[in-house]
Amino acid sequence: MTPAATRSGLAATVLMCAVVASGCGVGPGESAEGTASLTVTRDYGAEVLTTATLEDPTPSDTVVRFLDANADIDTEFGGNFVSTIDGLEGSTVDGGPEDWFFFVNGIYSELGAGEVKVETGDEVWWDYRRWSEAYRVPAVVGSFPEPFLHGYEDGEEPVVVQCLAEPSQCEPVVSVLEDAGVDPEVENVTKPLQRLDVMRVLVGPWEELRADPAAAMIEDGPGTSGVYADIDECVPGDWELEILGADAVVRRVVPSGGFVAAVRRADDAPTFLVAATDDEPEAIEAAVSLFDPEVLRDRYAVAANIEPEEELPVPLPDDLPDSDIGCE
Amino acid sequence: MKAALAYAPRPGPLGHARPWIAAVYLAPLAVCAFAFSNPIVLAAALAAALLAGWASGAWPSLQQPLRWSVYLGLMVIAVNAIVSQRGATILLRGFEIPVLGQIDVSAEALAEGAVLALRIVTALIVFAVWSACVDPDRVLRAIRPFAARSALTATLIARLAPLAAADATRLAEAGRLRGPGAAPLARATIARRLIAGSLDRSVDVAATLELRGYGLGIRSRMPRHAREPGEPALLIAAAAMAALMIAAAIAGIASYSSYPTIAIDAGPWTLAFAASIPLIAIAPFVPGLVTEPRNA
Repeated sequence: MTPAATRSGLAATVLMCAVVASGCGVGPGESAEGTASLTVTRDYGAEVLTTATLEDPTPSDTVVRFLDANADIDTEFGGNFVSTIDGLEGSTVDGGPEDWFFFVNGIYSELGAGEVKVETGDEVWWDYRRWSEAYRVPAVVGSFPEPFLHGYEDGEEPVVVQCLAEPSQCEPVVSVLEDAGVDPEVENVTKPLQRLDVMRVLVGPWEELRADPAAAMIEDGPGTSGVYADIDECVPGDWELEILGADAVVRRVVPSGGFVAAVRRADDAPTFLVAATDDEPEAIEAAVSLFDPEVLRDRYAVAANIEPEEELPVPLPDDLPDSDIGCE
Repeated sequence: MKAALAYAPRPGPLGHARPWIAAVYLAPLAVCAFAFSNPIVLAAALAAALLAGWASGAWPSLQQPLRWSVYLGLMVIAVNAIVSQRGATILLRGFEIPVLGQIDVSAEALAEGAVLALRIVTALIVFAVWSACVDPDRVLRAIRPFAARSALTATLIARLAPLAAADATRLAEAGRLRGPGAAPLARATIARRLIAGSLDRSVDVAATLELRGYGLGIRSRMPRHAREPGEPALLIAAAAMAALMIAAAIAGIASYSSYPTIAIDAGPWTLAFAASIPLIAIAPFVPGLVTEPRNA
């Protein structure tokens, strides 16, 4: 063997060792036992277009590869930005820009679809929606019991239910979490406690919940909170929920009832709000009744009205009628 | 010094054809490079362009563009493999590249890169055949009545580029003639001298143009060129190729997609379509098949 060939062989061996040592490898990698799920919807989850599952994900499975295997897509930026799914392409409709966004375990991803790995238990949700009023919707309730089951970063974040109502009124919320396989800690408190790395479920009347900075973002509108709702104080201590449409215009007013929404400040842990418009037991009960996987499925947020009794998606779809009842 | 794409009078119908006829003949091949993704069809279009160049005696002029385009194509394949994070068949996983993050290389990304590379090579070779076989002066004369200033600019560039190359050769030779002890002239030094002398060259050219009456504003007329015997065959071949491609596109044959897994239509219709492209392209060059041969 010539010296040059020896050097080349040595260099190749060193390179191979470096590749192996850095975690690189040949093939997709070892699969992890379990299932991940995919949901493709449009208009804030109003219409489900595709559902699929991925058995035993590998380290090479990314959000875009998962989608690619189950839908006809067009991408930009090397697969990081999905521009079209099954022929539905980002565009401007009625003056509002619409595009594809995705959540993993109910959390909006700041990374491109080609960079986010899919792991066992993950729920990937693609939604085609108007984004002029809220480009960034940091968290949604539609993948419940995620993110409580598999977390939002390393999967080991603790879950706390902060009860700002009567403890018995919060019990159904704890039960639903436990039934889903989550082991929450329960804190009976008189005001919300900020826990930046802990996923919280705040249960109680809005008058109490609004002391929490994450919850208070809702009063700043969907552009800040990502929740298409607003809350007005008609008389001191009596709040009224306004459900907005996709254009952020008030479509429906809930004088007494509740809602469930997810909010997230910057990189803090997400917070679920199970909020009632007032401290009447019926209002708390209406809010707590929404905290159900079937009710929350594929929704950004949901609201409940007591009179008439009805469950309403948030934002309110175009095909549901408006109401003209307001504070004034 | 001779430029790689230098035109030289060529034998055969393409070398004698009027510029617009040559353009019409080569256009379907260039369009094919962008209209179809099937690598079999792209390879066929490339083969057709190379055959047309070879039959026109331009093979030596095509070698360098072919080499360049292959290098460019290889680069496109490598970049696409790194940048594209699509494809279900993972070959290598887990490369960490700054800014781009973790990179997985998939067979589909390599295939997509190869298709892009084939497009580039095909398009470049079609234009190389055009450059090697079509007299640029005839092209410029043809466009002069419509775009006089553009034609003049293109003419000047076409003349000054080889002139600068010749000047560079002379400067290098002059440097070597200083004797064996003299330090060799670096390329940057020669380039600096060329740029320094370019103003003198431009003044010479401007004076020559003025003497020839370019500034008088007299509108030139469309030059008339005699019809060449091989031109109908080129037009028939172009029409046949275009019709075939339109029919293939309408019929939906020769489909191809890289993602999520490679899906290529390699059925008999696609193979027949691909085989017909080079056969039709070479037909005008076969003496006696479509037209009477003409002496070069």
